[in-house]
Amino acid sequence: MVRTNPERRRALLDASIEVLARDGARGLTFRAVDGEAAVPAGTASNYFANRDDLLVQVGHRYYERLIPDAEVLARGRAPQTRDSMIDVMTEVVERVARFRTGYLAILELRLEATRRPALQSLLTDRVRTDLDLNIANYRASGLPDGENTVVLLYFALNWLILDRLTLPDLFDEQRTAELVRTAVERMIVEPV
Amino acid sequence: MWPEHWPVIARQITTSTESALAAASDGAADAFRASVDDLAALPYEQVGAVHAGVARELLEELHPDGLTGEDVQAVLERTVRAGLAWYPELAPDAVVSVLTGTLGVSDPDAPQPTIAPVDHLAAAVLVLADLLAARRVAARPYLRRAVGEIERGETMEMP
Repeated sequence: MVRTNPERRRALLDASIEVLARDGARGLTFRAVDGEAAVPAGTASNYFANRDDLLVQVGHRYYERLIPDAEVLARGRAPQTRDSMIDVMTEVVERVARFRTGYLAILELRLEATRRPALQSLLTDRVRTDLDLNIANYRASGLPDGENTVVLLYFALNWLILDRLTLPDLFDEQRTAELVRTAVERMIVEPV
Repeated sequence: MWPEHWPVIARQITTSTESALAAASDGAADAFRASVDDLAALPYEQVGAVHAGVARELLEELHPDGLTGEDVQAVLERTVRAGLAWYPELAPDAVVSVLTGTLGVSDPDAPQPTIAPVDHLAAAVLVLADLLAARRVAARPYLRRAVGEIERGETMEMP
């Protein structure tokens, strides 16, 4: 049964990410996905019941591809100082920004989700899970404050990534790094 | 998912039709256009046969005592009005053509309007969306039966 081939499924989802990033949601046809993945016409419709199913699975795949390796994960869960948190946040920003097509694809999905309730629900759940995990890690880090600090960093750093990827001339890499440092320093106020 | 033994084209037709119907239900124009593009890349007559099969079954269920001209007019009006609200390129001529074609009442001697395949396919999906909403049913079992009928009639190419 070809449609249970996980490698092929991942290849189709990765191809969908590239199509979404390049052509937008309007360009995401099954034919375009087959073409991008260089598989015979009709393959994508073997794997996904319909286009909504494809979009939902693209959302899952994006987050799957952003999961860092075990060492980085362990570093994020360890006790932190404000300085080490700057390194952690810098790594996160670099990792997300490096997967440029993924970020652009997820922006397309976000817009599509405004019109598609199932997709909106999936993305809401994924972002909430991600935030909850980060809040739990932060609380375990020994740093002051909790949820608000994580959420405010999430807001600031996400828009920084958005600017890096959509208006790359606005802030160069060095300025981006400075802004990450400043955001962490301003939002994590260690007791004197 | 769709039956395993189905030919690739049958699965492509039902997958893209269901996708287009979901987009129509949400009024998501770009998603609708993308799925209609997929349908337009498939063998036109086979797509039309599946859509006509679904439409016929729904019309029979909605009007078990027979279909009147007013009933057809009502489908036409609802489809055009609802469709134009979010899909401005909808061609009313195409909706008429879909309905007369489905019912087998088009006059072969009358001058036929020139309707692009993509417009005809979009109109057909919107007619199906209207009938499914009127019947308050999901598309999938109807699509399965329509393909099954065609399979039985051996009019669809097997791979």
